[in-house]
Amino acid sequence: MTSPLRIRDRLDHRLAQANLSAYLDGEVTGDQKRRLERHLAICPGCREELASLRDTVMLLQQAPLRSVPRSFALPMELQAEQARNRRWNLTYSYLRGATVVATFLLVLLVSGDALIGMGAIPIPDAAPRLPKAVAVERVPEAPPVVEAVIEREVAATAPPTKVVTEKEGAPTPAPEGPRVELVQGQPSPAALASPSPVAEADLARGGGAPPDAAAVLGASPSIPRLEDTGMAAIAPSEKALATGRGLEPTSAPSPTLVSPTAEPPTARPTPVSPALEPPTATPTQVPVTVTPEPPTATPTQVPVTVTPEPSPTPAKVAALAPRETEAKSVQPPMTQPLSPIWTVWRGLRVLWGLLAGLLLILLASTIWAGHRRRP
Amino acid sequence: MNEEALIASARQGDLTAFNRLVLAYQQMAYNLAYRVVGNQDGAMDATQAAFLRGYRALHQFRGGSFKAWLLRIVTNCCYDQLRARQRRPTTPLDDILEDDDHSQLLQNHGQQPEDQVERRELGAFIQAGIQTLPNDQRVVLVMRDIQGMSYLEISETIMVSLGTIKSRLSRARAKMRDYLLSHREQLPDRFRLRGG
Repeated sequence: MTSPLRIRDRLDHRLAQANLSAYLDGEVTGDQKRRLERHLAICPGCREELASLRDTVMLLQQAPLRSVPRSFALPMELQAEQARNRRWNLTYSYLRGATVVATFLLVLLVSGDALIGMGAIPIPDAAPRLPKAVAVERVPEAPPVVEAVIEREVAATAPPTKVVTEKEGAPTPAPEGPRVELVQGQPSPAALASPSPVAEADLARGGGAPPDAAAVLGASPSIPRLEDTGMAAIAPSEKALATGRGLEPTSAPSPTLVSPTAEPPTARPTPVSPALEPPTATPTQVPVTVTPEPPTATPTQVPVTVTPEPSPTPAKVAALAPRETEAKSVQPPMTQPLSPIWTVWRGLRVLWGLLAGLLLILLASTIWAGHRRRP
Repeated sequence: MNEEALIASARQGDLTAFNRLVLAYQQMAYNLAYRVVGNQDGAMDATQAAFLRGYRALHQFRGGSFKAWLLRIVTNCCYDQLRARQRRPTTPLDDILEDDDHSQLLQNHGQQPEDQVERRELGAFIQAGIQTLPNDQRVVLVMRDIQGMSYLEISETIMVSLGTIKSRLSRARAKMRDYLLSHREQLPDRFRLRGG
């Protein structure tokens, strides 16, 4: 059985073995020093070890210093080199910072652009998102065949309605314009029962005009000056198709129209008074495309509901004529001012490209300066 | 001009001020390098590289002990030398001629020629013992027992804790004692350790 005294001696011995070197240098605490000295008084092995360590240290301290073989002072040319290096380091630091900032801005712009493109960031005015300001407005110089088709269809089905195209002169403004409404989903019963020749012609021809309207309108990227042409009723649908949001289905043939482009593409229709104005042909109109009508049209697509108005106005006919003939005219872009957010966004797209170019230049410069500088 | 003023001037790029610091510390730096690297050429290269590196990195000196900062650079340069020597093992010429090169030891004009010879032998013997130590223990032993630095200075220089310094130094001294005891017949009588 070991007594507590022996245990304490053993612990002190262990402490001495680990700390004799520090004890020599006076680098032990007061308690450690007291315990070490108590142990050294009773342990001849530790005393001997301490003595040998002390001799070793004394011997090492007697090791002679060596004189320096030469001066290690630096040559004075180093001063100019150091100044150059300092300038390079400063340049490198600035370039590196500018590169980081440019990268951050570019990432910000690209991600914002992507978010807008995905629709995560709502934009109030969707029309300018379309690539070109092209309107299905009028057919200034439609091919004769197409014109003949229009007239034949209208003449065959119409009550005494005067079909007016751009070539025939200014149409007679109707006191109340035709109330055309785009309805997503089922066609309105009122629309099916409509005596409107154009609507009937559409339905008879392709199982319903809506696919055609959707195709044509979806292909038309922009809708400037729609209030001049009577396409105001179709414009919201076009916007809806362009933005992928669509219109809310209307259960009843509401006697309302949807305002043209300046408004955000909401499903809430608003009365259109400019539709009553006769279309004015501008000399800047440029016909661009004549797209063939899709041969198969499903009635589940967006139908056009025409309310039973007695006399379709020239605006209405002019609005529907391009849909039948698939003739589109190019309007001078941006006849209506863009909303500020779209202006900013377009500016950002330009900035996007400029920033990418700047970033490439900065990256190359930073790498070059990094090679030139001395760490 | 005191040390702080010289450092401040050297930080502005004044090489003359830095060279005055070099002259003040080159003896210590070279001896540390010589004991750690173990040969004159390597020590000279390490010392020169350390002063050059110190001048270029002086803007990174954040105050405190300039000696500790400089000797840390010297230590790192010594490690670089040792690593380079491990990759390309060579036998420096000065190691062969060391005993004949009297000018390499600091001359004490009060010493007799016999004393000088004995001290030179002691120096070579100690150097041989130091070379048996691992690098980390070697640095601590040289700094403490040959350079006479305090534990705190060593801790600041090589940036390790005081406890680590104590344990490294304890092991290094124990190994040196064993070396000196096992080779004590090569030493003059008055330098021989008792015991063993």
